[in-house]
Parts: sequence; structure tokens; C-alpha cells
Amino acid sequence: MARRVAITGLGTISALGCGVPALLDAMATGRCGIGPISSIPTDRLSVPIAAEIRDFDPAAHFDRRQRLMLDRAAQLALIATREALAAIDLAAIDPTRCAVVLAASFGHATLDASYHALYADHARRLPPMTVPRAMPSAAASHVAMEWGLHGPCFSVASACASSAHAIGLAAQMIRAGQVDLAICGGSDASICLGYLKAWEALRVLSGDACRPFSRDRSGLVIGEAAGILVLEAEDRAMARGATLHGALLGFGMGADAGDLTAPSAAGAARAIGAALADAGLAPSAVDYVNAHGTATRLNDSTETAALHAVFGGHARRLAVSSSKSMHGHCLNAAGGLEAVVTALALREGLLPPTLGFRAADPECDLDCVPNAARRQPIGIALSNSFAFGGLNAVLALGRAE
Amino acid sequence: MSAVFPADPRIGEILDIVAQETEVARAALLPDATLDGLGIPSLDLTHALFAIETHFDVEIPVVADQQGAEFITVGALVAHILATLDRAAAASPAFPPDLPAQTPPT
Repeated sequence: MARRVAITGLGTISALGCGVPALLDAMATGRCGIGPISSIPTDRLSVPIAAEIRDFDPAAHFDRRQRLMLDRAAQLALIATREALAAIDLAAIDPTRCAVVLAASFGHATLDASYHALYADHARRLPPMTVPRAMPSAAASHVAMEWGLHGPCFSVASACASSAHAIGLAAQMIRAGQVDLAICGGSDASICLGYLKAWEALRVLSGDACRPFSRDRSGLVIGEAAGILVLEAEDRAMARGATLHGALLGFGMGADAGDLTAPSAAGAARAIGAALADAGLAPSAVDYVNAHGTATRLNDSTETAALHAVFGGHARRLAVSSSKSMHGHCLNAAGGLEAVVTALALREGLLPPTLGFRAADPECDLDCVPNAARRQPIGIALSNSFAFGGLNAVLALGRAE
Repeated sequence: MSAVFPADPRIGEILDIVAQETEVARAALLPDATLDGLGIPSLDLTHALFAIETHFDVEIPVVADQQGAEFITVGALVAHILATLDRAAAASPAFPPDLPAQTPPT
């Protein structure tokens, strides 16, 4: 029988603050992290809002030499991992049986600065750490190095589902007995001019707020974040007296194989169904879904159709909220941050709200926990990630037993 | 190999940059001192060479010392940089080595 996978560590940094307590506070009070961009000049941006990590001083976390090596994406991953591992005695675990599986996230700021220096300033040379800072596997390497972990370590690329795929793969490695502990999730430092201009070109960004499932929803808001889970074989975690935050029960994934950007209800439904089947759960067992919920017109109606297809009449009893309305769409980090949110929703019996909801949309006929958090004990929850390219990943989470 | 550097103002500038980038005491940067002995990892040396290239606005070519490392001693490092600066000055007298360097944003 497959081993159960326990969640023994949670870590995060986002526009909602540094650390799980700040995230929980935002979930409970419905605090929104979206606002005017302050970390870069906005004069060339048509959409100058984002869910930005404010008051972030890298020097408070990393010395000068470390900062030379670390793009912001890797910095965020390390900060969240430090929190997730704070209560875990790694000395008790064989380091060759500890995995690191993170979302593949470019060092956008490093690349942006290098191209600006080269093309705009006509610099004759670029900083020597440009390549190792920018490489999408850098964050995973830095995590392995900081804790001396020698097990499998790699990064997963599936656009906005990257973190969810990373968590799902890590859980499978634990189930298979390949490793005893896995640090998984991801980070993305997306607030830089080149990347934001590229997103503007897609014409999917909202100019004012993220309003998932609302009839007047106007698009997504980019965020930056890291969300990290520590997964362990539950029997081993219990044997060493670990704190259990919850359990990773199932993982479903698949491809639309249709359109590069337009989502597919059938593809999303297949991934949701696969996660339930993997967890051995009936649809009626699910209490809450942390939706992909980007607040684009097409995503939210398509996701609603997928939920109706899988859950039938139970879809009307489900609570389905999009925490992106608070922390923005954190892209490669989204699945990691939202898995942390979902684990906290289960642990605390606290459903995060969908902020910015103003009017019901018949195409999004779900209970989206509008505008105010809800205290409600729940047993099973899903976290949906549906990425560009039609890459879908769904995680099924439960409470610690 | 001599135990003291010759009098050349460029050497002081080079050593100041090496000390800053490697966090090794300036007084320890003697001609015979080995980079290994000073505990300077290759990565720090790479940062120092980048800063020196930026400061003097020259390209410092990659060389391998006879033992395989790029430079064994501080003296060899300084000699290679001075030779590069001399060649650059001879090749393009219109662009003196103290031309303000362009520093990429970090």
C-alpha cells in the first residue's frame, strides 16, 4: 500500500507578508496585497499595479556574497524554505533521502538588467553571475546547498502550474519510497519591466483589481511570491514526533492538447478527476476548492464548467474561492502559495474569501466565498492550477489524522 | 620573484579592488602570496576581475597558469593585468585607460 504523505512544513512570502502568520491574518481579515507598483519605475507600464512584496530588504536575509549569487526569485524561495524547515530537525534525516523539487523560474531581474546593460547602455561586459543567477534551476540548487541535501534536486517547468506539478511529483517520490522528505513548491519574482510589458501585450491584465468569478471581472493581477511545502512519509514523520499540518492525498495532471492560451473545461475536469481518483475520493467528499480563479473572463467560466462536470449537483454545495484576489497571480509560484493557503484552510477551518466580488455571473454559478472569509471546518480540499499551454495540475489535500 | 610590488599607481588600484571584492586584508596581498593560501575562491576572483575590467575599461583575457589554475599568485595576477593594460594603451592611444567605465546596473 502506498505511503501516506504528510505536510510537515509550510513557508511563504508574498504581497500578504513574510511568513505563515501574516498570510493567515490576510486570509482571515480579507486583506488585499494588490496595489501600485513601488519597486520599479512605472512610467513605461500601462498597468502599474501588482501584488508586490513590500518593505523587502535582501540584506536583512543574505550577506553581500550571497546577494551576488541570488536573483530575487531564489531569495524568495530560500526565505520561504527557512520558515518551512524551522521546526524540522534535518539532522535526524538522511540527507541523501531529502529531495528539492521547485518550480522553474527565470531570474527575470537579472536577465532584464543584463540585456539593458548590453543593448541600452552598450556595456562591454556583464556581471559574472548573470548565467547562474538567471538559470531556472537556481532556486532549487540554493535550497539544496543551504541545507546540504543530496537527494533528487530539480526544477519543473509548466508555466503557471509549475509549483503544483513540483508538489505532485515530490509527493509521488515519497509514496514510491524514493525519498523520505521533500521540499517542494516554488517562487517567482515577476515584478520587472520586461516581463510585465510582455504580460501587458497579452491584454489579460486588470487595471484596477482582481475580481474572480464576478460578472465585471477585468483580468488578472500579477504577483510575486514563494510558497513552500515540506512533505514527508507520514509514518516516518509521526515516528519522529513531527508536527503534521495536513496530508497530500492525491495529484492529477494532464494536458488540454488544444490551445496555447485558451483553457479547456474538459482538460481541467480530467485533471480534477485524476486527482480525486489518485486520492481514492468520491467527488462528494470535497468541501473546498482553491480555484485557479485568475479573474480573466475565460478562465473563470471555464473552471466553473469543469467543476460542474466533475461534481454535478455537489458543485453547488462546494465552497470555491480564489485567493489570487488577495495575493495576485504569482505565476510559477502560484501552485506553491495556493497549496499553502489550502493547507491552512484545512488546518484552521478558515476559507479565504474571493475579494472584489461585485456581481454574480450566471457563467460562474458557484459559492465563491465572496468578499469575507468564512469559518468552516473542512476535511478535503483541492488546489487547482491550469497553465498556459493547457498544462493542468490539481492537488488534493486533507487534514492531519 | 620579488616580495614587494614595484611603484606603479595602477597596482594600488588593482589591489584595492581585489581586497574589496574578495574581502581579504589589503596588506595580505603580497606578490608571493598564493590565491589558495589567501583563501580566495575562483568565484571571488571572477568578481574581482569583472570589477577591474570595469574600472579600467579593458578586456582581461583568460589565461591558465602552469599549474592549471588561472592565477597562482597575487603577483602573477597583477602582472597579467598590467600587461593587458599596457597592450590596450598601445593599441588605442585615443582611448586612455582612465576613460570612465560603463557599469551595468545591478
